[in-house]
Amino acid sequence: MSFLPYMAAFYLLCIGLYGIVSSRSLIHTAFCLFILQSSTYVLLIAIGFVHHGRPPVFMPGRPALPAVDPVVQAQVLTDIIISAAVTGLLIALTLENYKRTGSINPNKRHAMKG
Amino acid sequence: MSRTARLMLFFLALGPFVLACCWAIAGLPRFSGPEHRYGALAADQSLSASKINNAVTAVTFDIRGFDTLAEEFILFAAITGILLLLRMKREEKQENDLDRARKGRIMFKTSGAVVFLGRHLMIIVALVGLSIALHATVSPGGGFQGGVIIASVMLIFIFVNSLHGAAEMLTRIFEIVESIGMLGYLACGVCGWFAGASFLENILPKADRGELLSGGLVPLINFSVLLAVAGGFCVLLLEFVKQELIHIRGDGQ
Amino acid sequence: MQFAHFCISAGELPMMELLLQFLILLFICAAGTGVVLTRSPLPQTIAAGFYGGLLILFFVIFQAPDVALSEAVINAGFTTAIVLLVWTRILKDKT
Repeated sequence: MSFLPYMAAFYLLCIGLYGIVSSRSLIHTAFCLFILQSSTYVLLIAIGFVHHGRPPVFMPGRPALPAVDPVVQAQVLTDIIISAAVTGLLIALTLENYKRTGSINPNKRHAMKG
Repeated sequence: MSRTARLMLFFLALGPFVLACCWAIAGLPRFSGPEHRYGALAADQSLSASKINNAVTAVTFDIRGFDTLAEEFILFAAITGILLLLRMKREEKQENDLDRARKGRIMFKTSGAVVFLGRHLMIIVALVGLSIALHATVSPGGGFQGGVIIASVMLIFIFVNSLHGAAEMLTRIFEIVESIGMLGYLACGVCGWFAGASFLENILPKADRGELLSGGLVPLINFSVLLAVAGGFCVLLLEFVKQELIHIRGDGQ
Repeated sequence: MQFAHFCISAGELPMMELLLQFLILLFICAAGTGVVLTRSPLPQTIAAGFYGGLLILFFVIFQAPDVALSEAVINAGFTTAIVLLVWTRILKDKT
């Protein structure tokens, strides 16, 4: 049980990698990249967890209970927003590739030419 | 490389990779263990020095403000890349409604329920997003989340109205908003130089903990991030929508 | 204010916290496998939306409300919209 979150994160990493390697459509690749990125979020948030911890938002009147790590949460927060823009970039590349070659299959030879 | 060759290479490499992962997991600290020194220090500093209730906002904008500036640049670069990719090229032409009618394509009419709900939802969602964005220092939220909520108001706007010629003008407006947000963050950083301190140092007077404008420079940085993220994601949506055929509303709506 | 006394937080029941964490990790792994094994884009959009919802629950169970809010607004509203916009553009040329 004490290593289950880390194993789940690595499992998501492997399944995301398998999805990217074996994908037949660039949109499928974008979603598998999302799974890959979310494995890092799972790993980071699991590392930051404290036993019986509270969210790191402190209320004025209450005593300061043990709070979970706020640094990893800050990193994951900005990471999620940035990954949305990068996914948008990937989808825009898919669209331009489709307009030039007529297919979104990454296995076709002409899909990768200039 | 063909797909089967790629798959075989993947499965060949999977064995050593899984072994390496197991070795790495064994070396990680125990789950929910108490050894979080940097986290405890950061929460401490957020309460005492920055005087912000939301420790995550303090870490994002005050303690690790430089990292957030770099991430803003990544966002800016990604959105500029999308704008470059999806610009109108010489051989493309923006199809307008007369061309589509001549070609005999099916034209969709937005339903009345969508228009009614959308009009009323837009203002509610915009206010919720603004509230989440501006209450960064006292509750979970911040400029990033609020900016994306305001960008989703643009999505509702696209569904409710037809864009016609407004897409170009809206893109220009939100590009300007995004640039103002980015420059605002840099200006907040440069403020420190004029006061004799270092870049992005929190030099403004800090209010008591729990107030809306607490934390010194953090509300200003938060507002700049709100402008940058909202403008950036609105431009993103508009660029993707311009690629597609534009819906028109039926008459009498 | 009185209502707060009746709410039991998950941290006070010893096994509940562990059970919730175990279940959400299991569901995340299953949903992740489901997203990867779905090949067609439209069902995959729905599967990814479901996966995003499970991620939101994961962030809440692990006491990270900021991150849950961020994931909620990005995944449900944004990624789905962009992929569907591009997919309808591609579909229009195919019909």
